[in-house]
Amino acid sequence: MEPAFQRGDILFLWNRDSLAKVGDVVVYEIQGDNNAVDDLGLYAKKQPYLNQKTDLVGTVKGYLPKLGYVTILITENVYFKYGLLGIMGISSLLSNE
Amino acid sequence: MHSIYARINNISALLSTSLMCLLGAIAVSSYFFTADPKGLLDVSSIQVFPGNARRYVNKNQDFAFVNFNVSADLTPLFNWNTKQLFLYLSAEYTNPQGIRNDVVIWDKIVRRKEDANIDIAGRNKYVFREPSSSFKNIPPAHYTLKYNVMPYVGVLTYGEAARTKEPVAFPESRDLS
Repeated sequence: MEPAFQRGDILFLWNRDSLAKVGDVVVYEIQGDNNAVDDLGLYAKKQPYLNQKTDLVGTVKGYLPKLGYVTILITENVYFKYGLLGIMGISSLLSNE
Repeated sequence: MHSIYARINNISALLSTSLMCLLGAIAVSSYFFTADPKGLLDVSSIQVFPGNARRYVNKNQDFAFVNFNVSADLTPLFNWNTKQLFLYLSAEYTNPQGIRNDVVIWDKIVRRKEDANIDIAGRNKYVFREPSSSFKNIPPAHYTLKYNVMPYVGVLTYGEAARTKEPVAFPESRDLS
């Protein structure tokens, strides 16, 4: 991921091509993270390759920086989550439509 | 009607809409930069040695060692929406069974325009071996330098910056002992 994509960035993925080409940026279900050796040791036992249908999430086609932090804030930050809920509750109480 | 909530709501809606429009416009603007730089790539030496891979300790297989020179001025690829370039050098060959192989043997990340005029004498960074475990009867391979332009926002684009003029043959495997 680094240094191209950071935490909180949004990636647009595509997994309808018949083959993943060399040079494609693929997102898969196994943790890789720029290890010195190839990732074979991280695969399941006796698995020498990744299966496109079951292991690949998709190929990165487009990129939108930072906006994923909205989701991260809501799911991980308790204060933000309840603060947002509180504001929504108060505003619905105070609005007189 | 003009409560503070309505005003906040209006302003944030306007801000997020304009932000999205701006990002969309920047992403679209990349299509107007159509740089297609070409450079030179040649393989200075290639050697094949037998050995054992880390994972398949009992399997004897060939390893290829490729030395190459590559020079290319990739600065035109840096426009205002270019975050970085990912360069990768791959060997392309069609094996006797007719299957096209494409093996990445080296790569590099270029993050600044000042570093984009590359002139590198390098060797393969990644292990280069054949699924059939031998380079015997493998036809000569073309070597290509390709790039992936990663934008600040928008679509990732790909291109080829250099290619060997002639395909390079794999030599006989030689034992070191």
